[in-house]
Amino acid sequence: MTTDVDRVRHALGDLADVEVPDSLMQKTKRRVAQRRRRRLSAIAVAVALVVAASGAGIAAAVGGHNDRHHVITVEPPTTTPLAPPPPQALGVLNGQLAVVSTVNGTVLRTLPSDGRIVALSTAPGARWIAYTQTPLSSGQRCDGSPKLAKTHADGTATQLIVGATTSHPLISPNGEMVAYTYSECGEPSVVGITNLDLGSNSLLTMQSNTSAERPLAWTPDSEQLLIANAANIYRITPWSVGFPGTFVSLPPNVHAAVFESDTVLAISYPTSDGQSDVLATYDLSTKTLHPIQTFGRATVTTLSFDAASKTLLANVVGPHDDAELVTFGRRPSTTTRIEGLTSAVWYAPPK
Amino acid sequence: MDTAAGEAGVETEIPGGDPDFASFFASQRAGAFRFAYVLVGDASIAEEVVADAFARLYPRWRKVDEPGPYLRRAIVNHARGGFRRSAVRRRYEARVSRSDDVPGSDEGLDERERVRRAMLALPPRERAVVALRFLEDRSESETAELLGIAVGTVKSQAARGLAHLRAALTDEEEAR
Repeated sequence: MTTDVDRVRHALGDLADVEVPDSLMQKTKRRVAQRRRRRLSAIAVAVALVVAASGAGIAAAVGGHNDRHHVITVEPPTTTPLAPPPPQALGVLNGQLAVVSTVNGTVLRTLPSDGRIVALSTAPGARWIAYTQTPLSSGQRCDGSPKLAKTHADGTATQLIVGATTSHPLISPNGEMVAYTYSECGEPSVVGITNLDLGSNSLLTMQSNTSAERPLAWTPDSEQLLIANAANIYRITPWSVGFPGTFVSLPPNVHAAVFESDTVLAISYPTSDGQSDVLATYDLSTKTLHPIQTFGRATVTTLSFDAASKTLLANVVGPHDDAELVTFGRRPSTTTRIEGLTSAVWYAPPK
Repeated sequence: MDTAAGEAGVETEIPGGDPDFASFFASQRAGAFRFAYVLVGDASIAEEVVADAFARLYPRWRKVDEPGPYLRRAIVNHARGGFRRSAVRRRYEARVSRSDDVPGSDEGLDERERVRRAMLALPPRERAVVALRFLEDRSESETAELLGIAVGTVKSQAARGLAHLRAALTDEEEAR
């Protein structure tokens, strides 16, 4: 006698009785080759950045400690010509999204929002900006806590993404996804990922409360995410499959991080006395730390990397909300003062 | 040109040039494609999803202990909404919206099309559970581990999916 389960099995077997297209092999080969090319390109970039970071470290050591108002000039060896870094950054200024000049610190314009912005993210070329703001309209869960929203790169079409408490929004380098930590009204935090175009959500992992306040970082190929696993221990996990990934040990209390390449991670963390902040690169392949600069009595609030120009952007905030945008890359480093800027990332919306 | 023995003795080229990966590709491509087809209900989209899943696996090929479950999980996640190419996404959305026709529109369809539509009407995770349990005959615990969910969730979602598909098949019988 045929059971319901057998009937369904039989029906699904019939449905799956499709011919495998001959083109699957060629398509797979093309995809594998594309990924290889991207990987090789990323390795080349990593080598160049390690050279640049080494130069910056030497410059910082020679220039001394605690010199955040001094413009450090790094002149690494010239290789292939690079695009100039974006002339603009998007930051949080007095609770608003503000487009600022990275050249002279001018506030170029503010983008509309219906709440007070807490944190933001975008990526060069991305069509979206993601940010947390508080409060949104009444009736949301956990009123008063930051909620995650998105808007087009030009500041139009704002839309709520997550109605629970959210933090650390981080748009992937390809601009398609946003990762964030969220919690249901005080419950343990979870790392969520939302496809900004489709609105589909994925749950990556549970995080303990102690590690929830650590930063997230996407790998350059937008395939993996650095998440806090425990105190000082992080793991780099493929987001699409959520497998455990690679474990990484970083200095205590890292509070900003960004991948410069597949193997080089820029991080900031406090010195042991808590008085200063260190900006450094960590080489995942050799497990070595390369300090770039120490900022006295200041905190690096955000790190952002522009792959086209290979330039790192750090927003550094002092004790009296005096802020500076500092760039590090193949070109000479620059420092731009912008009062009240609490965070900032590269901003280069698609034309 | 690099080749490896594929299914039924067919010689296949080697994606990425790794003979072990080529053997894995040859042994898995049919099952992976059929699994993806049941999830997305469209051959061209299933092909994209499977090619992407293999390409994602390739760089981690030497590090992954169990590439079969890894591949299945990548397929499930892609099919759930991770389509990168907008053209693929548009085709998928068009296909899904066609499956959401008004009630009664299934009349006159053959069983295969009814089952395809019934599968697409299931939530993505439930669809994956049904495909793993009843197409691939994986155990509840194996399905739970592969999808990263509890065995109890597998049981409940499989039961719901089964009831939905059973209803689609019953409707067909009654219509005869």
